[in-house]
Amino acid sequence: MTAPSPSAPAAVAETAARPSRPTMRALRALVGSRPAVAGLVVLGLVALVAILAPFVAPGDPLAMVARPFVRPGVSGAVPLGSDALGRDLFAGVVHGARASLVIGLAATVVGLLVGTLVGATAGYFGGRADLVLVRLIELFQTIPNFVLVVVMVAIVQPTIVTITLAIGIVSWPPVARLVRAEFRALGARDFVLAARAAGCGDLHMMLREILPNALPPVISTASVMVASAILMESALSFLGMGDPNLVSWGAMVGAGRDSLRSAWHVSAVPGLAIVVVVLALNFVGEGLEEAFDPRRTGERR
Amino acid sequence: MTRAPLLLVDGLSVAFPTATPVRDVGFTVGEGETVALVGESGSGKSLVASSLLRLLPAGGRIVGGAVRFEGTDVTRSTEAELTHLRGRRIAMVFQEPATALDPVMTIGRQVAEVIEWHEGASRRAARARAIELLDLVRLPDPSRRVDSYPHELSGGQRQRVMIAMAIACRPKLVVADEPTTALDVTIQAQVLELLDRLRRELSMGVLLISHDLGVVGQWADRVVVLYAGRKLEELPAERLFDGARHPYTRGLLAASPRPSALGADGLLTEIPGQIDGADRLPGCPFSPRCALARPSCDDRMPDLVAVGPEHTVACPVAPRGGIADAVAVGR
Amino acid sequence: MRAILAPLKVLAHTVPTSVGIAVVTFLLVQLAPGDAVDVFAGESGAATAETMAGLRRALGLDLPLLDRLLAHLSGLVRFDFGCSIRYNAPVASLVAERLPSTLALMGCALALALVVGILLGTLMACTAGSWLDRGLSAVILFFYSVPGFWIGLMSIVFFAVRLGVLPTGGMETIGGDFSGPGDALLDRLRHMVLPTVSMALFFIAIYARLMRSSTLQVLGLDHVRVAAAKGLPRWVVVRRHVLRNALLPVTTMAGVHIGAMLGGAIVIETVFSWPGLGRLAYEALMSRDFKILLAILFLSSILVMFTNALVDLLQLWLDPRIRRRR
Repeated sequence: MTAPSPSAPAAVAETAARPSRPTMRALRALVGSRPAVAGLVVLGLVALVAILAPFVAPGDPLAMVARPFVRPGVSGAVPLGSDALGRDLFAGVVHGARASLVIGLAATVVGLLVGTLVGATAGYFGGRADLVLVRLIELFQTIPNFVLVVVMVAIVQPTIVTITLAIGIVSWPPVARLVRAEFRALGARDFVLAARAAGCGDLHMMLREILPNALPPVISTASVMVASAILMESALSFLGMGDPNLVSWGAMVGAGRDSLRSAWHVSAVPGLAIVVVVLALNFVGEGLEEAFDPRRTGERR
Repeated sequence: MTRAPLLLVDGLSVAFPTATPVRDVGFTVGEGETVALVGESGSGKSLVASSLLRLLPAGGRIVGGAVRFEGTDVTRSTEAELTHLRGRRIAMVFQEPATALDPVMTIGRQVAEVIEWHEGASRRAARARAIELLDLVRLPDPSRRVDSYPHELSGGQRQRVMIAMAIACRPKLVVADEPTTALDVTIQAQVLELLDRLRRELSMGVLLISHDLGVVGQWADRVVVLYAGRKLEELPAERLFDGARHPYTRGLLAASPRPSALGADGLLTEIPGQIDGADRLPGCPFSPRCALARPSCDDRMPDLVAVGPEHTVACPVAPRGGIADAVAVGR
Repeated sequence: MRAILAPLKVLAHTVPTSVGIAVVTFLLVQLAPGDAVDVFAGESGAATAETMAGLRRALGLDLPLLDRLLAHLSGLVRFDFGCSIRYNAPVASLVAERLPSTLALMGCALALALVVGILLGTLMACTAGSWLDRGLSAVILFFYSVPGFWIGLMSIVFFAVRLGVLPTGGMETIGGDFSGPGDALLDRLRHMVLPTVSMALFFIAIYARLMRSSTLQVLGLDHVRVAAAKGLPRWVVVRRHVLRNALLPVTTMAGVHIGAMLGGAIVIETVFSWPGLGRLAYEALMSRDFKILLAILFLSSILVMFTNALVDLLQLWLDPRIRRRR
């Protein structure tokens, strides 16, 4: 064939050398993607606001500070309006960012840890361990995620810790699949075989040789995992299953339901906050995916 | 020749955003004639083939020249006109029979589909024709095989199906892009024989694209040699092994003493250097690898010069034959 | 022979999965605070430790873990989920009563998502890199990022409250006076529009994205070029030679999507007061009625499992190569 094939030489050029460059190249590609950069900027701002919440919106966000149902843009004291109890929606959004980000990030870390552990074990050892763990992955992909989260949180009582763990527990299977596939593929590569021939132990092989190379695809899913964790947390707290001691965007949307006819902004404002953050995360996720694997254009599992 | 040829390619250039892999290529194919395009990977021969049907890979454009088929310039045809040309007047046989057939459709449907589309045949009539065609290409047990899926066939059988698909509407020209490269040597001969028999029976023109000089010498009437997107030489196939002039053609031939022993691959490695980047040179693309090259070779592309009957060479240093008054033809 | 064996294998595969589901639900029961006796004691108001221990013996709650697990499994096999405290009715019948309306909602949402998603995804792949592709990608990423409950509420505000063209919730107009069965059906359909669309948006996004990438992949295959060389116009090539090949990877995840949809049903049915399983789950949640929740969890897992089996069978039909391999 004489058709130019731009990707072919790169694929052929892979030798026994350890592929370490892709991460740097991917980061540069990420910075080159405009939506991803916009997403990162938005996320940075939200994170900043969340950290500085006590200064941005001082005082208790659950306190009554105004008349009920002030519309957005009417009062300087409550720029985004107030809810049925006269609470400041702006303060709620600012403080709610903390719950969303903390739970989203922590649940993702839990999911990544469990998923990597299971996937690496299954992919590295293969055989019977693999068989059992794949069945476990299949089982957890069969039980509907959100239903399981709801049941677990209902049984053990909603706190920030139980919610995080519950979301983490349902979000590991895709990571495990990914890591398992990477470990299986990388386990047969020359640099891994070389390390094994040099007498490296299993743990060293898994942690030092294979894991660093298996990580890029995992990292590129992390952003989307955070997004879906935030969506789950918001749905949970919308249903009244959030941590009652926390301000949460989902709970705020839920609280606005009763006054939907007269004051729909009470639900609209915190909902918009969710949309902005999740959209930003998905933009970053898309950028990461393309940066780490240009052939995959937007496939997500 | 007074009559216009079936296919006339004139000054064809194909460009991609970063390269121009085909430059100023011209040749003709007459009715019932087999013309071979020869060159190694990267010579642009497959791009020339795709240009005839305007099926260039994404990003590729015809930037110059004309492709006249039965008098009309294909490069100016509308997409609607092309759908009537493709598969009906010009058909194509591709290199890789393993991937060229739709894996989830029976071979019978894939053959019948061409007939249904171009001739408006009913499903049943098209199926009957498909069975006839499969019989014509000597696929064993065609009335049963018509319902097979591609993965149930061997490579040679799939290529027979491809050929059945190509000749379904009795095209005037078949473009065969490395039709046997992916096949075993014994199957190769069978498939080429089949193609040649059909050419005679249906009086089709055949444009055979190959990098295998043995195949070309045996089956073609004329040979066009491409290198890095340039045409270097054209000559009658029967003179290929003793009358070739261009240093590149000679290099190809010298790699193997007997034409029958020319392998499918490996023969080009005998010429030192490689083709990469040669398409960007202003002069003769072969000069970096050419033992006879002079400094002037790098200045501009030499003209194609007639050196014998139906024989042109684009090389001023090529060893001269007996013809003294060489005439510049084309450009 | 193969035609029979392959589906049997698919079915055999579901056995260990369903046992696994049962074990998970059992473990969750063990986690739940208090057992039936505690509930009984709480309701009767007065119970000594002795009578409670006696009751536990009678109900088999003092048996070793393994025996209780077996009892749990045998209950599930008979679809016996016990009695709901709140509704004072067998959980199985409560669930069965609500199941059809949830299935109707999910069926419509899934059909809508598949049709729109596949169309959009194919369109985006065929125009990849163009402004249309980019615009649609942005819209779809938005669908992908919006929480279902919020879009549901906002659609109520706009279509039901502002425009007044569609009902705010429920399954039918209460006390509606219909002149014929046609009107009643129309009323039902009007009630379905907003919940169906709210539920479908996320899945439209999923299918459009999946379809776009898998179509792009298929468009690059040799046989597509061959089909174009046959003279078929582009849309015929896409319909006949791309779509079916591209659908294969899209169908593989259907089970997971059904699971996600069941989760979404809890939220959407709550928003639209749709009397289905999701709404039942919400009510059970509010009254801490774990038996109902666990029954719903079990049933929805079984539903996902059967979807997976169905997808395997569908792929046997879609892809002749698998037929051969098994």
